[in-house]
Amino acid sequence: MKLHLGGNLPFFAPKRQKELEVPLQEPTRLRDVLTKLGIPVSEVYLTVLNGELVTLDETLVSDSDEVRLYPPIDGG
Amino acid sequence: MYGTNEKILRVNLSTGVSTEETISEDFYRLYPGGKALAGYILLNEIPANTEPFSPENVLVIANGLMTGAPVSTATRYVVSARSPLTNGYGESEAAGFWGPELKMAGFEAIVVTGRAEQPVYLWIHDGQAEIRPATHLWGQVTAKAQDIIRTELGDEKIRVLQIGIAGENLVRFAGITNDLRHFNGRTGMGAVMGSKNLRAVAVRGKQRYQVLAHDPSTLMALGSKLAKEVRENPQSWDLQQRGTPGLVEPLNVAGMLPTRNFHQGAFEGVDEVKWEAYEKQLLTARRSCYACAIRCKREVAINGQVSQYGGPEYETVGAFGPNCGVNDLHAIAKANELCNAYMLDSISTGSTIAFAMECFEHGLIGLDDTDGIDLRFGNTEAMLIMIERIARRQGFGNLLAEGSKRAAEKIGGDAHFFAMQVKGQEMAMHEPRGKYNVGMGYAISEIGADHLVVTHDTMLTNPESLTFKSAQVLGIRHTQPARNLNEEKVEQFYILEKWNSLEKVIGYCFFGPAPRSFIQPDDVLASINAATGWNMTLQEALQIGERATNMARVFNVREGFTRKDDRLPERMFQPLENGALKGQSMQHDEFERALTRLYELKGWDPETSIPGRKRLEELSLGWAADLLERSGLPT
Repeated sequence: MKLHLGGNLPFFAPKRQKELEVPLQEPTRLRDVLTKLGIPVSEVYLTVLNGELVTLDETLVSDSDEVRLYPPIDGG
Repeated sequence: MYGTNEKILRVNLSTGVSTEETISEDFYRLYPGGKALAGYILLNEIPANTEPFSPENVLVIANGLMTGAPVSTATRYVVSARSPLTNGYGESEAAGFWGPELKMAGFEAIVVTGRAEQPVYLWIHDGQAEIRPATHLWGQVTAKAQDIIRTELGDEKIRVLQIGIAGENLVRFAGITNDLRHFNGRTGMGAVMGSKNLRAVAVRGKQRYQVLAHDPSTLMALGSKLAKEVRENPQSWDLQQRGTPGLVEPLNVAGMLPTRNFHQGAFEGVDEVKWEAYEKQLLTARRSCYACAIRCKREVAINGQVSQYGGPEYETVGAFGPNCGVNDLHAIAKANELCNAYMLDSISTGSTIAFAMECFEHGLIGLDDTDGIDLRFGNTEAMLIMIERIARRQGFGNLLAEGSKRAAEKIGGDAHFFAMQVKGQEMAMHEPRGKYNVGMGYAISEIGADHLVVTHDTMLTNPESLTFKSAQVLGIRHTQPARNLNEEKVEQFYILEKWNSLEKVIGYCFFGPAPRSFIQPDDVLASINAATGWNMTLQEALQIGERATNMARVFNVREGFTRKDDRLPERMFQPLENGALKGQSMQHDEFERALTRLYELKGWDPETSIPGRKRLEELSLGWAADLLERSGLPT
């Protein structure tokens, strides 16, 4: 699975990277993928799965999927 | 009194006389700088119905209580006067180095009255003030004027606050810059300076902050701790990595990137203007403000040429990019450079041009009106020409220099529907239809649409998030949906507004304190107490914020503002055309109900928005209630 981390989310990635390749043997809950990577689900505001905005809660992802995550955004 | 110079510089430009005023600790604890000090002076010294461009208008430049302390983000000063854009309470904050330099030069604030016969600038150094001729600076772009001042005073380290050609020409949204890359953009304070024939205020000071502080070693230790924490908090870390232009893409995905004059919430050209493109096409370096470890400022090169004016912030990218239908980052950076060279507020300039573009596309104005300029969305050349013409008040630019509200009145027809303004000030690049408290902030803010009134709604929607946990310390109990104005959400607004108002009083940047960023409320209070020797509690701090807001409100109601001015553009109650929030709008009845509830919490009359005497007295503002009653406004 290809994972893009938007906004401040790379802060939580293992090497603070913006993009990660996450091999998945079988459909897996995105929530579990993030937990394993150490990315707190509580900091994710928007989830885009293969170009579609979805809710993160029970989303299942597979190895061929592309996921983009974004945190909430304040003013600036 | 620790932590301050105890001195205000007063300059009467009509007489050419400068004096010093000493401030007492009792006074300063109630009005500890920034927005609070400015509000007190404006309310007491500007007579009702004073014309903003008259010599009787009073311009206050005031450091916050903490400005210049060796703590990240404690850099800000406020410029305040009656606004020529809104005709109400005017105010704008800027960071950079100028405020700390004024502190080192021996003053907490400067109060400018009257009008010079000829252009002048102020030269303030180590407790001395001098009014100097500025005829040779008049008409110069800001970079040139700064060079001249530094050369003639013989010191490259002088910090120069100044207006530009736009302020000289009384463009109603002219701003003020310091060091060419930090801006008091909002509410037309640059035009007020221009009306006084005051081009610049140059400062240099050699005092060290530590000699003022009550407990300098504790303050230094806190500053060091916070400098480390910048890299340990996701919000401040991200500001360091990408700066504010990093907001573009996430807001687009959320359907909250104002596009084509807020008609849409997502921009098809976002890939051309998002941070990755900015980093690749424009970025040359990162810079900081005084003593700030975040380093959120960006330096850029435009078409290969390094700009003297810094890089566009998110607001500027948004205003001249998606909101004008423009996907050319170099053109956006050029627009930023022009605004800074002529010193226009980039938010109001971009937003006013977007307004004109929509009027043009709807046939409300045509080529005959625009001097032959094809003012359609996406026309970058037209956009850049209009910036020039606004600054110089040439042709159609002379109308747009009045701001979108006045321009709409002149154009007539449905033009008012396309003016995205509140109280005459254009909205920043944040979409209320996705963040209802941001909408409430736009509506109720005494300065007109302001995006920095409260923490944005989306930050407080997850109970496990770091931002929500920080907010709990302030008294926020439960998460609430971003698109909601229920009773508890309104209570959140009431608390958060006080906290943000405090930031504007004490001089902390919006990117410092939690919940927006990394400095926890306890550390904010610890810094104040180390600087002053006070024992300030959170309750006292929030009361200071509320006091400052109430003075601004009293100023406005005395000028005739009422509940009907706390409104949003009608477009906010109509559905967004595209993006993740397609079809979504705010609801009139929900908004009005929330506004009534907010007035109740604030102790204001629900019909008139006049602050009640009881609340004013609780805030030690009984004198303001007396002032209202003398003006025939019962409290």
